[in-house]
Amino acid sequence: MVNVNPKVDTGALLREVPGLTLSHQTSWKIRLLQLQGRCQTLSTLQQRAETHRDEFNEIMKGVRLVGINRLPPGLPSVEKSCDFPIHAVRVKWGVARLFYFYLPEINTAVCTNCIPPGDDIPSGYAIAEQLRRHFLESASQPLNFT
Amino acid sequence: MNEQTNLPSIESVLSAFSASSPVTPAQEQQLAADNQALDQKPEFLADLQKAYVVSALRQTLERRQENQSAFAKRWGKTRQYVSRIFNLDSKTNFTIDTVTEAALLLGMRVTVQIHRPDQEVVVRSRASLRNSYRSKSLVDCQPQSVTTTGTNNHASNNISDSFAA
Repeated sequence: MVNVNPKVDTGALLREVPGLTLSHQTSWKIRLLQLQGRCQTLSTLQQRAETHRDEFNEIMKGVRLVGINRLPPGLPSVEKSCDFPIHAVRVKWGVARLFYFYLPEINTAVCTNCIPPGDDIPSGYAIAEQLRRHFLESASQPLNFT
Repeated sequence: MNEQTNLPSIESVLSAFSASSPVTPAQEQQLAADNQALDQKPEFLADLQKAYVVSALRQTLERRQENQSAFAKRWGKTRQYVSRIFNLDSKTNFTIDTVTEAALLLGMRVTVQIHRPDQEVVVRSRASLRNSYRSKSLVDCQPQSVTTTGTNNHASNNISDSFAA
């Protein structure tokens, strides 16, 4: 785990994806956003692995594609928001999405949230954007002190 | 919703985020095992390799600002066939011949490598390879050859030795 901001405790951490090796992340490190001890993506992935194995496999395939491609993979399994700098790994047959954004400064793709549960796709993107902004604000706080 | 940006308020987002159920170490371990097991499934790995190939082809097409219809025409295939390949249609299986044809038409090359799991395949430009050879020959080989014999023959021997090492 990487503490986003070692000087100020914002509760924001970046977690590794369990079981994803370095060879899957040669272009971008894949990390899951954790806030105040909770990681929505990890929680959802764990549930999907138990209940919807096909979806989990498809999402993990997309994650590997993101990790190894320098550019966002131009494939049906990965899509980009028209409104925000947010991308999503998707399954072909349903609404399941894993939203992420690129953080070139640390060569990392940060996964923010997943659907399901609950929200529709546009809301998922909006939530991801809000989490991205929150994360970037938290991460840039040390700059204000120098 | 925030009216200006159509974004939900950060309070509601964080509240929903913190409502997600915690993952126990045992569950995390199981998740890691499930994820690692995917790397032992031939069909999963084959799909992944196909996706890498198609992604590279699509990116090249995009860079060349060529659409799929124009590419299909140049290739002598139907628009539907190209679309099925580019959309990873599970019913359309493509061979190394197909991929090589498409890559050549796009000015690219295909390299198929079989390697051990602990090895990685790295693609480098020829210019970068040349530079590394040059710096290797200058740094590692030249001073040695100059101090011992000063002849070209020995210098070239040293270069090949250093590459062999």
